Amino acid sequence: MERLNARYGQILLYLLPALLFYTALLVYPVIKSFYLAAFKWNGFAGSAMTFVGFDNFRFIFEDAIFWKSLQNVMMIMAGSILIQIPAGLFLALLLNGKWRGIRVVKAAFFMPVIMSATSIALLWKFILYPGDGLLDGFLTRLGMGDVIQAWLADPDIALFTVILICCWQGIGVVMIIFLSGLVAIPDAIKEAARIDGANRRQLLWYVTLPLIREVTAINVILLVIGTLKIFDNIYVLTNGGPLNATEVLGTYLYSEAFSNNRFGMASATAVVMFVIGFVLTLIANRAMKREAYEG
Amino acid sequence: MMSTITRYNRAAVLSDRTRKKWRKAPFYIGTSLLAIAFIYPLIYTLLTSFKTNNEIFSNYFGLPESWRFENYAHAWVKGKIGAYFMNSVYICTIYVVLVLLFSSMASFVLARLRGKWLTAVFYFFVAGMMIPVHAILIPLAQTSMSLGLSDQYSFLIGIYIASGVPYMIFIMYGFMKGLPRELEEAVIIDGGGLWTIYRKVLLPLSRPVLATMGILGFLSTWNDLILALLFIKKSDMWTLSLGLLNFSGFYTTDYVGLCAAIVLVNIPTIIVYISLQEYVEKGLTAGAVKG
Repeated sequence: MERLNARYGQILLYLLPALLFYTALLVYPVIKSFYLAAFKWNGFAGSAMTFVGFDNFRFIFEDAIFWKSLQNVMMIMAGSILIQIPAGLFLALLLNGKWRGIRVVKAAFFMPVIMSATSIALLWKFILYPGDGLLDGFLTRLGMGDVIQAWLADPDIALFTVILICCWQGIGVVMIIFLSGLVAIPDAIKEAARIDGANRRQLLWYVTLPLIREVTAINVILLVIGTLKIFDNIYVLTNGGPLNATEVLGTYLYSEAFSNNRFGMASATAVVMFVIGFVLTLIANRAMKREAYEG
Repeated sequence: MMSTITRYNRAAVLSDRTRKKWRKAPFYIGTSLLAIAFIYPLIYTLLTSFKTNNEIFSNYFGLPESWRFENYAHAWVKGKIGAYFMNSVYICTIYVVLVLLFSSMASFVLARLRGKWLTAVFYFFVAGMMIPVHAILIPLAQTSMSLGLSDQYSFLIGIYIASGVPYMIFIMYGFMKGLPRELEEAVIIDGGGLWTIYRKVLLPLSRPVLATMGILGFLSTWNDLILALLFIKKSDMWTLSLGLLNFSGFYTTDYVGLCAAIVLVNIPTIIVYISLQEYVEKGLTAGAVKG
């Protein structure tokens, strides 16, 4: 191998295609986002760009819709964690075994994960169709017509509807990651606990749960980072409405740029998203490393 | 005498086993019912796609009165799902081939050769995993406008490659690092160079990771909305996500058509998933890190 190491030119040829695309279409644009955030411009080709320094950041920080978006992202994060972690763990415990048909059952819970978010959002829009959709029709038949809400049109409710749909779509991943953690627990440990007289609840509480702390951390981190970038579902379901009730950073950025033609403010939003994501990832990595050492 | 005892024991064991199985029956039934309730929205969409528009809001749980396969023909031809389908197939195929080629070439030299600068290049790639797609939208929109790259598949595929490469390299690097050295040493003794090692040793050995990454790449591109939304404006160049989104716009009352379109969009992904369940689950859970 040493002889091969010397051929720099040849080695570079192997790296070049990946490096070229990566640098030109990912690294360069990110750096440019920071630069563009310092200008006021409307995004039309050839339009003037005025240098405004940090004004764009001041504008978004003074914009109530920006804070609403950030708050909604936090709400979706909290909702996803509070629902998907217990429910995903429950499913994983249910499906941690070997019996005929288990692959099919697992596939049922994982199916929404592989489907396109666009189609899932449209499907739910159809199911939640006011009055006659599957949900309202079903509730009416059960004689629970007074429970019916304007699921996606009521500003007080829309965000919760969106959270539940996101959970429905994402729970398969949480379940599979929990399952990988459960499978990794050696049978000997469980056997030892059983011989010591532990009942099932004690086994779960004192043996299983402590041993899957690491995968739980991974799940939480993935949910946090994934929610920050949420866009597709919400764009299709509500496009941030009604009255910005479901606005998130992704849709805020998109409409600032491509509906309101405020490209400078959109770039500033992109920078904020990048920084939040960067910080969260660093914290997450730090936390995960500590988990790994302790566990 | 001996045989009687064993026979007796075997009978006892057997009946014990069947009893255990039966005691677990409520558990299996409960779990299955839960799974069916969970994916009922999907079953409902599938059933609705065969119904008539008059039927959908009266018949929630039953089978269609008659199976209308023409809904699919309608969505495929009139709803132009067929054309968008081909566009998506075209984009995904080129993307998957190129991203696997480029990432595996880079991972190969990064994982198998030594050098401080190679480690630096590796970390440079890995840092890209932290970049959310939103952070590149505005500059790329600007570039596409000033260079007239809107409605160019090559530009869109290029962006897909750029955002796919960091994660693919990260995973492939880990896999290739763990491969044994003996085979490549044999190639070197035979006088082979880097290309022979890559082509004859690394690629065949890396098949599992290439499959996982290929599936992940296919799914993420097939399902992508935001990049296509931004860079493909001409309606006959739309991808499936865009076609689906506008399907609901044009035919607000054609719900059976919409359901048929939703089913059509997801058929390839579901086929891939059912035939390669373990790969898909591994790829997607690993891929979730990237998001």
